[in-house]
Amino acid sequence: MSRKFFFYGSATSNLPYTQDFITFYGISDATIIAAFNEWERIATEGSLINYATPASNRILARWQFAGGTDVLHGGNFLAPGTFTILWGGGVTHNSNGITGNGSSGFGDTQLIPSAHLSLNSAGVSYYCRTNSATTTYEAGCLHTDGSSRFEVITRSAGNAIFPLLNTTSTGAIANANSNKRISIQRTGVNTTTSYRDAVSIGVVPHPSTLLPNRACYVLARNVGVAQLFTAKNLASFEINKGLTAAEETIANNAEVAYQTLMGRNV
Amino acid sequence: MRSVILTEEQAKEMTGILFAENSRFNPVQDADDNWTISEIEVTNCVNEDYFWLKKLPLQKHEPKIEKTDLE
Repeated sequence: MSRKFFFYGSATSNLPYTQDFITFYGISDATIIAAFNEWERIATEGSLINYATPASNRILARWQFAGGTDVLHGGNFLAPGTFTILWGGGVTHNSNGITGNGSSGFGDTQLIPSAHLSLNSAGVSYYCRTNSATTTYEAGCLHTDGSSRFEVITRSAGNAIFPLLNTTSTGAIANANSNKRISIQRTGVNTTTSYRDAVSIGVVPHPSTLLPNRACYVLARNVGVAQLFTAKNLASFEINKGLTAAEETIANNAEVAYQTLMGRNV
Repeated sequence: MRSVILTEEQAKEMTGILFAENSRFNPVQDADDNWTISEIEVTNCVNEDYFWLKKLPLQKHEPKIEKTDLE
């Protein structure tokens, strides 16, 4: 669907993605709408999203985790009604976003990498408000035969990030911080870059092998069931298409502006 | 963290059932292999068919230790 029009009149936003989302979910909170507007403005000006050709959007799905309820936190900002996160177990929903209980809480994005992403252009990003060293998954899924991973551990007990996208490799990079915007982006056969607050943590040369065929979970990893649940607090979540360093900078600018207006930046 | 203990049959029957508008039960086993439901699920349950959970005693939850295949 092409998007070329701006909304005026009785609408509370003049930006189309924001207007669609707040209409779909009945959101009227001025603070949230202002934050959505600012995220959309920066993302649009930086060409991460494109009204005329949505298929070319660099972000496939984004969950803003605004509004404090399981329903609102399940909504995909870029296409309400698609990739709605289905929550399971112990997840706390409040004005800070979502927080797992580290034991049973997770979200099923319904987004299957093999159906919706490209082998060498894929990524996961989230705004994490917790800085802790635990070997738990903030997101991910394993191919049904276990041969390929689409998963991330932000800061393991051994202080490492595991940026594993569409690969059988398991190598990690030292990382002692799990808060702010964390992003892992595959942009080539042997290139997966990890970022924190738009600064590169490092690049791993894991060769791409296969796009996993299970849905990506958030707050845990999907191996047919959810496992290795995180207790971290996430204030947004994205699946994207392999952002370049320049694109990641824009995405981080939009993220920081959004979280600041929401009063939950760290 | 606290939870309530279920029977295995209850746990299997409840898995995937909505306890709120967009949240499903996910019973898990604790460190002693008891089937449990988290306090968050019990507290936020608005499904009247499962209000009996609110009458069960909450107890300290000792999670089963899970290990990743990475380290």
